Amino acid sequence: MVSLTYDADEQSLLDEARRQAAGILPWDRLKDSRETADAWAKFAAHGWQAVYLPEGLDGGALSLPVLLGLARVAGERLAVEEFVGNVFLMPTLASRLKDPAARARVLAADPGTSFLLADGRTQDPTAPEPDADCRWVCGVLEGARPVRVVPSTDALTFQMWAPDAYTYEPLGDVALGVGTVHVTGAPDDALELDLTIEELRGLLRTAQLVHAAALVGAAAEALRVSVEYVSVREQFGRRIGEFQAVKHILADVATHNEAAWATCLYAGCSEAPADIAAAHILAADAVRGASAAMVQVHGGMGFTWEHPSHLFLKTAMVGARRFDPDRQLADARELDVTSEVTVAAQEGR
Amino acid sequence: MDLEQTAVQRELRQEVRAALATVPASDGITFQTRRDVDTALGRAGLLGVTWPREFGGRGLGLLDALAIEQELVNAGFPVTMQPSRFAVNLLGPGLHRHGSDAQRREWLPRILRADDIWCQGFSEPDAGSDLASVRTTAVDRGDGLRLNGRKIWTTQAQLADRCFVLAKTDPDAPRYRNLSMLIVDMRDPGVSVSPIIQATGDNEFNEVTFDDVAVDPRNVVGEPGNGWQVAITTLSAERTYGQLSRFTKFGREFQHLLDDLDPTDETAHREAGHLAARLAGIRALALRTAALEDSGRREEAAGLASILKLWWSETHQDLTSAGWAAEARSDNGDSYWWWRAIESRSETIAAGTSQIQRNIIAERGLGLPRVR
Repeated sequence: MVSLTYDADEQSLLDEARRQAAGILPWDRLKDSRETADAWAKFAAHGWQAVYLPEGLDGGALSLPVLLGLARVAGERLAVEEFVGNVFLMPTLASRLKDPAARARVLAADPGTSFLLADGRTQDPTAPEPDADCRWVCGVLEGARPVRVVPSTDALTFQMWAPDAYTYEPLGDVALGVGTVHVTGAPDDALELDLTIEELRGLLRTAQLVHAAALVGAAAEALRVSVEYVSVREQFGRRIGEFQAVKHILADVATHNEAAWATCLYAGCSEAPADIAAAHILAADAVRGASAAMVQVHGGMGFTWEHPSHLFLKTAMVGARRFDPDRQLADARELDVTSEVTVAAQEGR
Repeated sequence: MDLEQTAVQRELRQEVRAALATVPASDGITFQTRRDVDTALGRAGLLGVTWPREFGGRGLGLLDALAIEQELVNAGFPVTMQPSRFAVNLLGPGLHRHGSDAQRREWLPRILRADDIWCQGFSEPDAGSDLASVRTTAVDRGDGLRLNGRKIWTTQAQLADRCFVLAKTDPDAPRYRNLSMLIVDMRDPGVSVSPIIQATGDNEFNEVTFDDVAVDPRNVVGEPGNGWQVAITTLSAERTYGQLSRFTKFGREFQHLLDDLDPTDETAHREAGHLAARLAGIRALALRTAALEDSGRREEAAGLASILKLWWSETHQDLTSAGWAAEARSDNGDSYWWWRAIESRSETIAAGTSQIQRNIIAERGLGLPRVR
C-alpha cells in the first residue's frame, strides 16, 4: 500500500514507458497526420494499448493511479487525446460488450484504433445525432474507427463504423486529432453493452481524470524543455536563467504543475467527482501556463513553426476546452472540505 | 494508493481525543487554553511524534502526524497555532541534528512536555529575506559571551520563557560560517520585548532587544559557527508541519464564501469553483509532501514544501479577496472577511516570502543557476 507515490515496480514500468515513448512519439509528428497515426500504431504495437484491460481479457490490469502515470508519460509526448481514447476509454467500453465473441473480436483489433463520436467539449455521450456533423470529436487518427454509444430503452448499444465510413475536418493546422466528423452509412457493428448510462458517465469522468494526467505530462515536459533552454541561452553576458524575472516564471510553472499532479493522484485514489473536476481544472491551468511560458522564454524561436512550443500551446488550448469546463467548476464547488482527510502510510504499515 | 486510515492512525486520533478530554474547560479559546492543550498532549506523549525514538519521540511518519493534526484542527487547535510549535517543530529537529548530547538531554524532554514557551529569534530589521545578514552579535570580549542586537517579528515573545537566537559569533568568518544558534532565557537582564501592532490591529509579534545579555557558552547549539546549518534545518522543518490543517481551515472559509455568493452571479460562482480546485491542490500537496518524506524522498519533499507554501498562501489571499467582494453583495453582515482579508496578506511574507520561495523552487527544484 502506498500513498500518492509510486513503488519501485510501478516506477520502473513508467520509466520503461517513458523510454519507449520518447523514441516512438516525436513531437514533430503532429505536423503530419499520417506520421501521427503511424507513430501511435507503433506505440500501441508495444502493448501499451491493453495495459488497463483486466487480466481476463489479456490486459495489463494496471491500477488507476498507475494508468495516470502512464497518461502523464503520453502527455509528455503530446499524445493526449489518442491515449485517453485508445488506452482508457475504448478498451474499457469494449470490455463491457455483452457478447463474448464480439468482445474478443473488437478487442483483437488491437493495435487498431478508434474514437468516440461525441462532442469533446461537453463529452455528452448521448448528444451526437447520426448523419450530422459532429464537432469537436477527439482522438481522431487516420485509419481509426468511429464508435458511437447509443442509448435505447433498456440498454446502451455500441456502434462501430469502418475506417473509411466518415469524413474528417481537423481543427487547426496540426494533427491534434480534434475536428468535425461526419459518418456516412450504417455502422458495421451494433452490439449490446453491459453498461448503464450512469456507468457510462462514470467512465467519462474517469476519462476526464486520465486526460488531466496527460495534460500535466505536457506541462511537465514544456517546463523541462524551458529549463534546459534558459540554462544555456546567454544574453547580457549571462545565462538567462540567472535572471529572477525568468526564474520566477518557471517557478510558477513548476508550482502549478506539482499542484495539478498531486491533485490528479489524490483524485485517482478518491475518485470523487469534485476531486476529478479539481484535477482537470488545475491540469488545464498548468498546461496553459507551462506552454505560454515555453513560448515566452524561448523568445522569437519559441514562436516559429520549427520549434515545438506551438505544439504544446495548441495541445493546451484544446485541452482547456475539453470535458465541459463550466460543469467542472460547478463540480469542484462541491468539494468536500468538511470530510476527514487521511491517507494510509507507506508499505507494510 | 489508499485513502483509508491505518489502525495506527485511528489509534492516534483516539489518543488525541482522550488527551483533549483532560483539558480544563474554558470560556472560548485563549492562549492559556492552547497551553493547556500542549500540556495535555505532552503528558500523553503526543508532542513530537515524528521525532526519533532515541530523542523521546515515537518515530512516526508525517502521514501519521497528519492524523493527529486533523483531530486537533477539528477540535479548534491547529498545530500551526499551538504555542509549542516553535520548540517541537522547529528547534527540536535542529537539536536532533546539530545539538550536543548534553543539550539534547537538557532540552528535548522539556520540549516534549511543553514546559517552556519558546520563541524564534531569526528576522531583524535589516535581515528579513536575507537572513544570513543578521547583525545581532554574540562575542566574548573577556567577560563571557555577550549578546547584542534586535530581533523582529518575534511571535509570542511577550509570553516566552526562552528564545533560540541566530547571531553572528565570528565577525571575521565568511558568510554562512559566521553564525551560531543560541538558547537565551527571556528573563535574563538585558532582554526587552516591545509589542508590534499589526495591520490587523492585533499584537501577535514583537520586537526583542538584547542589550549585553550574558549567554552561557553551553547554550550555543552544537558547534559555534554552524548556526546557519541549524537555521536551515529549522526553516525546512517549518514548511513541513501543520500543512493539512490549512486545508480544513480554508475549507471552512470557503463554505462561508459559498453562502455569501449572489445566486445570480455566474462569474463569482465560476471563480469559487476555481478556488475550490486550488483548495483541493493544498490538500493533495500536503499529503504528497508527507508521503514523499515518509518514503525517504527527502529532497523532493523539501522542494514540494516550498511549492506548497507558495500555493496555499496565494490561494488563501485570493479566497479572502473573493469573500470580501462577495460579502459586499450579500446581506450576511460584513464582519467575516475584513480581518481575514487583511491577515492573509501576511502569509506571503512570513516564513519565507513568495519571492524567496520562487527562488528556492527555481534554484533548488529546477536547478537554475544561482546568482548572489
